[in-house]
Amino acid sequence: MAEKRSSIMIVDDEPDILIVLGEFLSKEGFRVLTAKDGRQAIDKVKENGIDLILLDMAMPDMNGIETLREIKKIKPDVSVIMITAYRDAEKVVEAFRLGAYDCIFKPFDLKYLRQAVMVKLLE
Amino acid sequence: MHKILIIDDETGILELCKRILSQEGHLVSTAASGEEGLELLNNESFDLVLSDLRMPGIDGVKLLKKIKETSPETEVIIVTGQATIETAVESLKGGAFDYILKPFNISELVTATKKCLDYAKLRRQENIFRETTYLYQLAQEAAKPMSERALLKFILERMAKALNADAGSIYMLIPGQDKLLPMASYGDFGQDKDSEVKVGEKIAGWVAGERKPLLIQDGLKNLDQFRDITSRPEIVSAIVAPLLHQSLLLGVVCLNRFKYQTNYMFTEHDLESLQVFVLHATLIIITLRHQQGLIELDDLKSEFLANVSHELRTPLMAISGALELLRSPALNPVDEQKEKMFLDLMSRNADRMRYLVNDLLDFSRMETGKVKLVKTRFDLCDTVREISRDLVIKAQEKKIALKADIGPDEKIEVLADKERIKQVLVNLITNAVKFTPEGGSVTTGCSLKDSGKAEFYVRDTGIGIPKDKLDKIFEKFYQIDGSVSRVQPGFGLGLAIVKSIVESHDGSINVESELGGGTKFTVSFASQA
Repeated sequence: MAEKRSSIMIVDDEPDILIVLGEFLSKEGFRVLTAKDGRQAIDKVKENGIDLILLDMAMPDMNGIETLREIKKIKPDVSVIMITAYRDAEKVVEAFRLGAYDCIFKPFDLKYLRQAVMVKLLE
Repeated sequence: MHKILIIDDETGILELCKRILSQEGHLVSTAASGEEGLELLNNESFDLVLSDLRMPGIDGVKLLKKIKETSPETEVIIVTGQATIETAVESLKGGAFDYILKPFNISELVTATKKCLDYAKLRRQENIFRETTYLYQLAQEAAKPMSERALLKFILERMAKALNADAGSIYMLIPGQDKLLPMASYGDFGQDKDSEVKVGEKIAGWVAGERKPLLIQDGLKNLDQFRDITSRPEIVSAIVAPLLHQSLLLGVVCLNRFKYQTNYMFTEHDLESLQVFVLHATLIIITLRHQQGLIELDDLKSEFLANVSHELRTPLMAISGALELLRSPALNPVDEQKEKMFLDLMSRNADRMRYLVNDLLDFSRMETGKVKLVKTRFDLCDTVREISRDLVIKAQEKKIALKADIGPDEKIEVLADKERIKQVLVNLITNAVKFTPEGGSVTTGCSLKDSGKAEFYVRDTGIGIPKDKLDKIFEKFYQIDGSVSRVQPGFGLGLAIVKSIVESHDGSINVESELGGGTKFTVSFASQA
């Protein structure tokens, strides 16, 4: 594992998803931040040294794609993994075009999430 | 029955022809000179003119020329005593349909007349047939379904062409409102081009209201129902017909002819032709509407399926994640507080899945009509109070004040399926809370009307529903904010279920809403059914 604790921000409008993913990643030794919508996520990206973002695709007001676009404007080199419960190929392609690093589909095993996160952070 | 005009300077011929053709069932007028004949032709339209060739004053050839100018749809048969090929050719070149040689016998006259009138009828029918066939082809060959506006424009243009109209317009009825909106116009339709017309008002509105076609030949002076309308002086004649699909009024078509353009009047035959055309046009419009309805339903279905899977996957993710965490060795030694949090989380999400699945089951049962009502007597006020109380906590989570505006002693006894009525209330209140921003309020209440109807309402101070969406919200699968960025979870079945329950109680549900100003749902049903 990297020397410094890596910071991961989870962005999802479902509080229970924030709890489960947050709990898991803390246990895995990461510093975890959460945001319940796109606006909060953008604010936090501005302030904190975040290494990786887990970003939900379907959120009210500002969806994942719009949030991704804004985040990449502020911090072009932050890694973003999209999370979605939809199987909408168009949106996924759009996310990759905007610079998302990966996309995982709900429901997924937490082990799988660890793998996806580690691959990126150990690069 | 056809209108025939006979022009001859010999009274004997006039009388004879009139008698014969009247016996054939025609409406016959006579004129003793070309001048007299033209005057009659100016005032009314005839299907056929039988004219002598040699007459003092205006002779047959001049008369023929004049008729073909002023009323080209009137057929002419020349009656002549001079059996030369030259006069025959001259008449036929001038547009006469046929010529009859004097002296003629009765059957010659009858046959020639019949042939001419049949021919004219066939020609009119062929014209309409050709134009409507073209319309069908057009509607069928369009690569993608065209918009209704584009279709109406095509229809109108073909109608105007087929019936030699200089201008026209199609008004469509706005469903639910007694108003007609101009959707297509052709030629110079004056200032009225863009203004709506109330059913009953003006000419288009009268035709819509009466559902009767209308022929206007000499202004509006002979039509008592339009006493208060000033006619546009440039219009020589107009035909107007309703677009009717079975008993459903879709709209109205108007066609005009102008002075200095097509300067002759529409006839009863034109009106008949218009009605045939309108019959075809209506079928094509209805077909298009069905096609578009199907496409819309298909889109809704896919969106619905995507929503169902999303709505089920999200709680499933929470449950399976929590399970994995509970099982993982990292949670040892057991942290009881965390364990309880995860169990609560799992039960919460399991509930959420159960509600969703119940909604789906309920809905499919209602669709197939398998729901049986179990009616009992109960106090409606009490039920509204109870459900409002149950949901207060949920509303408080969103900082929304939920209260029942019902006095403690109020009582309304009803005979209904209590569980289903509760379901309606839960659905309506949950919806109201969903669509009301923090700090707002949701109010419920009930009353007994003099008619014996029991009513209850759920009113919120929420975001409101756009007017054009109001009649869609009760449709299955419909979510105002469909798409991935949708604001609210759910399947879009809640209101469809509510409506179905209310209707199974022979009741009705009404919605009033103002964008940004909140929404009120009122349910009404017979209290002692």
